[in-house]
Amino acid sequence: MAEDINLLPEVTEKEVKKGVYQRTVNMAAIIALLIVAAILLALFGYQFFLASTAKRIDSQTKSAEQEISNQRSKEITRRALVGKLDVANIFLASSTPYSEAMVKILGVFKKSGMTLVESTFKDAGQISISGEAKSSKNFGKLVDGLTDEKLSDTFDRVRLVSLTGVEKEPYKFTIDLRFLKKGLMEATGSAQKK
Amino acid sequence: MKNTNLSPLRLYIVPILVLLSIILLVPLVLMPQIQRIRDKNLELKGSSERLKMLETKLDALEQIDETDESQKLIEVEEAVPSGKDLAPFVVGVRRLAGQAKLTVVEMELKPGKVATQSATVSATKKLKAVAAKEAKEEDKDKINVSLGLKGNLADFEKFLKKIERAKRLLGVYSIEISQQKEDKKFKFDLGISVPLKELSSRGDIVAASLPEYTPFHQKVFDFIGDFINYTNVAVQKVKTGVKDPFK
Repeated sequence: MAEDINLLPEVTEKEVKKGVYQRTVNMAAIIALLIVAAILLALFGYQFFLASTAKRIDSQTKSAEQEISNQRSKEITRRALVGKLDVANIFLASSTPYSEAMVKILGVFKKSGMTLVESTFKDAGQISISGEAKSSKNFGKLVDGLTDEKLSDTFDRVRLVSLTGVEKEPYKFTIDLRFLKKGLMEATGSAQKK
Repeated sequence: MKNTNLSPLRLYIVPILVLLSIILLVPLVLMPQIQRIRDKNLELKGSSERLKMLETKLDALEQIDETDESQKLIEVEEAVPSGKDLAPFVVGVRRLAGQAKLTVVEMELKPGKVATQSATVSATKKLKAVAAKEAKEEDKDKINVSLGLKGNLADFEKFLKKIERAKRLLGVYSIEISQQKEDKKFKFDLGISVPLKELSSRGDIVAASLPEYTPFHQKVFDFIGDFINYTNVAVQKVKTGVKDPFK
């Protein structure tokens, strides 16, 4: 009977606890190792997946490139066509429709009975006109014509630079003005509307 | 001699080995692997984008009617030529002036970087063409022309209207008008700019996106389609580098 009696229960309990603790630590370590191994495996698997995807994309790219190369002439034609139309568009947009300015100025000169002697048309629509007027009345008509409300969308900054009058000779004058229209397409469009 | 007790180490050999393995695995295997995956992912993203672009381009290419676009290109070539062929241009300008009853008294061409001695054109005694040598002032994508005309104002007005609707495109950027004292006729000095667009082949264009032909391009095409071609003349070329090229 005495054999079954644990005379050191505290020591046994400590031993048992130690064993449980050791098992727990071992188990935790193995689980941690397994987790790391699983992560590594997953990473290798993912890398394999990426490699196979890259291979597939690579072969699809090569095939697409080949097909594009086969249609190279279409691409060259498109590039040339669009490039030239872009150049044409820039050109048309930046050109000044001087013919319209000329028509308007000559129209005003004709109405006022004046003579054009000299004129310059420069970039940004800067115009300078020099002419001769038989009388101050004619000159007045010219100024009225150039500053008319109807021409307000065509000319602005009408400025008299010089006016000289010598007895028995026509008045000589120089007027600067700015032509407002820009772009050949716009000018033609507005002309067609009118 | 000190007696070292190795029993705790023996007891925890498994966790210690596991810990050591993890410590070694993380920097030596795990981290490089993550880095490789990150790089591969980036590479894949780039490749996917390129493939998507190529597929889009392929779709766009398949929708192109090559015959139609080639026809359009031939027409646009008349308005914006690729080369600096000066002879048809000179003949064209003279035709334009002639139709407006104006006389060409002077013409100076600045054909740009590809200008050579043979580019200098002299058509008549009244027509003088000099190729400019100052490369600094020259623009690769255009020819600048100084044109001197003589006639009356009404005819010049007609000329301006014609030049603004001419193929090839001719842009007047300056005009000087002066009345001649002797015959009361007018002298017109014009600065004209002629745009060019050379066909360029820049390396590998497979991956470059296809330029879109927009309704606006069609509008420009239709607009210049109505223009009149004055330069569609075949000028016979002569030998260069010989004493008399007309023999």
